Amino acid sequence: MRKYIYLYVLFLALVSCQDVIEVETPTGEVRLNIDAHFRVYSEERITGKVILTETANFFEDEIPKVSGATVFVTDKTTGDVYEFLETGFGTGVYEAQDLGFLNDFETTFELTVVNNEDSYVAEANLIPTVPIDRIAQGDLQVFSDEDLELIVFITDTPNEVNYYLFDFGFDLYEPIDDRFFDGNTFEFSFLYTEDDEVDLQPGDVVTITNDGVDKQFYDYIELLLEQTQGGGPFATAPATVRGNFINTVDNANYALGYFRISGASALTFTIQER
Amino acid sequence: MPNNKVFCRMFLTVFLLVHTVSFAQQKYTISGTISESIGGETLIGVTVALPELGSGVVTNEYGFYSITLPEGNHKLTLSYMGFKSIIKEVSLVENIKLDFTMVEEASQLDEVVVLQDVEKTNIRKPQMSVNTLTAASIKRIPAVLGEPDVIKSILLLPGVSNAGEGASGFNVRGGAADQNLILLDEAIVFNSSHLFGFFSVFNTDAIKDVKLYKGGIPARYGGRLSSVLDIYQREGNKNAFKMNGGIGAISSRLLAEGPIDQGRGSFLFAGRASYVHLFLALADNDNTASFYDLNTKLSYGLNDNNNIFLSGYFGRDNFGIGDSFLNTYGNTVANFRWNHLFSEKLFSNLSLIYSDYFYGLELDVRGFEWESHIVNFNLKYDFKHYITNNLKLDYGLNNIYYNFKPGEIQPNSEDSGIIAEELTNKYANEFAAYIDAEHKLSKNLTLRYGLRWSHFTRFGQDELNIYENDSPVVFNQDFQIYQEAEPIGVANFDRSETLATFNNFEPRMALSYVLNDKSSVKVSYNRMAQYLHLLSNTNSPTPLDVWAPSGPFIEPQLLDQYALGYYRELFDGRFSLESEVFYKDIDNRIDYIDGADLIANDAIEQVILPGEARAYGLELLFRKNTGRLRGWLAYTWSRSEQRTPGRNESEPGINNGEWYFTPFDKTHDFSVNASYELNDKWSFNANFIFQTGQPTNYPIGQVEQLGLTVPIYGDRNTERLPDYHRLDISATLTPRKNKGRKLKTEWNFGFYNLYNRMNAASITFEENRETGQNEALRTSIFGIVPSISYNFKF
Repeated sequence: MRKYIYLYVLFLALVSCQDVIEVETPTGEVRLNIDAHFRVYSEERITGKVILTETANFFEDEIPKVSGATVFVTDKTTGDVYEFLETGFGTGVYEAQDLGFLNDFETTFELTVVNNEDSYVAEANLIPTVPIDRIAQGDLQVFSDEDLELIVFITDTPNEVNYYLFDFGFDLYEPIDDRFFDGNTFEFSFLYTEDDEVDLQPGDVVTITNDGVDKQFYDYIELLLEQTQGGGPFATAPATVRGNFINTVDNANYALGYFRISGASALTFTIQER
Repeated sequence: MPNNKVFCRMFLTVFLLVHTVSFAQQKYTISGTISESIGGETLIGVTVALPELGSGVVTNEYGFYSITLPEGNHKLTLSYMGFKSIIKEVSLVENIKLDFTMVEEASQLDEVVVLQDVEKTNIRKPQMSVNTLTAASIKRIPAVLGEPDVIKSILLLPGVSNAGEGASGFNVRGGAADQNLILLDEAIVFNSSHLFGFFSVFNTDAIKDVKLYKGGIPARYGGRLSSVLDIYQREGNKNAFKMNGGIGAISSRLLAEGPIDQGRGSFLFAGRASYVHLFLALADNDNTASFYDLNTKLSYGLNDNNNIFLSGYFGRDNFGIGDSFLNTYGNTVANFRWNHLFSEKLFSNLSLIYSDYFYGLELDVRGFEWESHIVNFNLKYDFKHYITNNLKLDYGLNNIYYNFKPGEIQPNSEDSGIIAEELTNKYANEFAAYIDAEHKLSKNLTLRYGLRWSHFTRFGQDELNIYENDSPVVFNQDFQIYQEAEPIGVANFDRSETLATFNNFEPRMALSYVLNDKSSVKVSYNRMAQYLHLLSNTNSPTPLDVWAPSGPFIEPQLLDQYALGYYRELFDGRFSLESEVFYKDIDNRIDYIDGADLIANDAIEQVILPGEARAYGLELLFRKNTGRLRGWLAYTWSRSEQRTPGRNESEPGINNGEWYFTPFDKTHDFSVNASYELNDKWSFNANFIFQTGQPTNYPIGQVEQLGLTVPIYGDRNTERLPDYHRLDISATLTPRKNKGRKLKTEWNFGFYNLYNRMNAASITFEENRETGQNEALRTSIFGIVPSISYNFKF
């Protein structure tokens, strides 16, 4: 619901103007940032890796990568440990040989990142999702005549609270909860706009993915997306978006970022002539 | 309430005084109504003075005055800005009724003398921190797109600011926008703006008088902490049928007024409509943004002692994007009032008010409609008792019943997957009784003291959440963040049950001490209680914001304000200087946990934490009251902060429990308003405003998540937007051919933001998706805006 406030900003856009200005921003304490998102499409297809970086000033071009950390996932039921190795020194990207172990709804996984003196842990469960029934192309245009509308149909699981994160490619995401359509077939529109810089042409193929997520991650991603999209005069007061990592050595020196395992369902769609 | 005893004693004292003085001496009363000559409109705030006795009264909101004097000969002097003074000799041997008709100063060049834009503060009255504007002065102030506007005008006064263009509401002395009590003919107005703050809901043509109380608020007002904006509408012309109107760039307006039953009564109808949407349609734009409003008023004098008034307001805003999104909101107010004179010394007004603030949203892309209402019924019975020349009492009762319908969500078509849901309705009642005495103790010392007792009841509702330890917010020690608590149960209550009650005694005190003919000092103290909270964690209020009543999880906000002022007339009253310092302290100001989502949130208690706020500052107002060049210069230095400490030692609170700036903290606020009458054809007006930039947040770093560049933020409101300033000018052309004909016309030309300053409404930090570079984007609403409008009257 929060995002409809942006429609007011859109109204303001009718009379307002935006320009880029030079501003000096402060630099806060340097923190570790852990990007660890895993998708379980099926038993055969599981994706994801752990990316370690450090925070940098907002206008810094390069974000420092964190090398040489120890990264592993523990299955808390069995106690099995799965090691993640850096794909090459200096990349800050850590991968496991086989992610098949993540396809288990019954257990809790714990990701541990040991860097310098600190040890960061986060827990995650595999969250189921529902398939995308179909995708259609609509003709809704709101922001400009470059707007491209896709309509996504899903059938929600009844009698439980579900949260979904839709990935429309191009780093475009849309979190949705089933509060108002529990158990129903539900359709919603997504607009690719001029500002998204995707420039989709007829014949292009887009992949839309529906990740199952829990409430904690839903709240996290909603806030994160809001702060990423800027805000305008009706924006809520921004805040540090903490993820789910805890520093077990020094609680105050927390890390940013999230460890998540989602059941995922993808469907492709070929853009039609308008 | 540790001080109850003191206040009770004060009550007692007041009644004793009433008792003793009424039997003191053989005296008679002069009373009556004062109105202007052209339309017979009653005049508010006319001074009826007795220069020989050094005393006097002013007419009340209904033009009534009453003055009690010893038997004998007296000289009354009536004065009112813009009108010729009247001097009347009276030989008093019995109670008499004297109605006066005052004649406007002809606005010919030679006689331009006393047209002040802000009424001079009466240096003898204990009332301080108040500014008065008349409709005529509001109309002279240049406004964006040439539309005169009440709210935009009060922003030029010291101590009043807002978040800039496109922001609704206003902030008084560092207070939030929901802390202003806005009254239109005594009815509470919940949303004061059209088109997200570009216009206020008040039609200047229909307005008679606007008073803004920033401090020392009399006991008859209550329910909001920071200020009272008391607006009275005109009654309509009692002598002849008249019409006037205006055509502007954004909207047009028309007003018709005239007598009923040979002047015993009058009517007034006024309407406004905008037509921006027509331009958008012409430009092949499917989006729409429009508003309209209607004001009506009927007044009728039943006899010498009884007058009745019926007034109504209906306004709507429509805002839509194609067919996919339609938003409608507005106020409906109906109001019946009965003025009754129990005696020449006792004036009463009974008001019955119904008001409904409606908010609706239809969202086709999500297949739903949403409707919300705040309905309230208000009964007010106010008395003004002119006991002696030295003692006047105001007392009365006020009861408001509220029904909050925060929202109903419905599928907008059969194939929509949306399930209808109604957010829980809430019910409450606010009762208040007050007494206020204005008491002249000596020639130089006048006191006003009073007490308001307010009582708020939150009635039973369905689905009230129950939490472990009554704590709807939990602190997660692992992540060091506040989170919504899961309710452990839900209870349903009958409407006749009481969920919570609150009682507050609100003392009000003011004192004025006249140093000499030209200068005085005043001090005041007021305590206020506010039982309704506007839930808004955005930098400026939006129509989506929801009002929540105090109850089991939200305590009422309480304010103590202290003010001290010094007033001085300079150069025989041609100039004047008003200076005030204030300090205020607010308890139970709520703030929101990080990431709180307020929209359609049925469990608001899960995302709020109680805190406190404080504000202090210095205000200066320097005016030139007479001559061709008139105007004022206002400067305010102030600070406005809030703090939300942890509820116990294991929690840090918001911002680590430290004080942080509220979004309405403006260190320096400087404004100039000047008008110059060149001749009978041309007059010019200019405004200049400078405000320290509003507190905001800059990112303290960036990270990448899911391929996105995410700015990260630290403590709240540590940075500021660039300073805000702009200059507006306007010129009014009154054609000479107006003289001697019935049709009077006027052209108004103006430039808003003359030097095209790009004032930042906000700065957002994001990645440019085209270049991949991080950018700071400034949004500014208005650059230079020319305007032209045409006004007519016949």
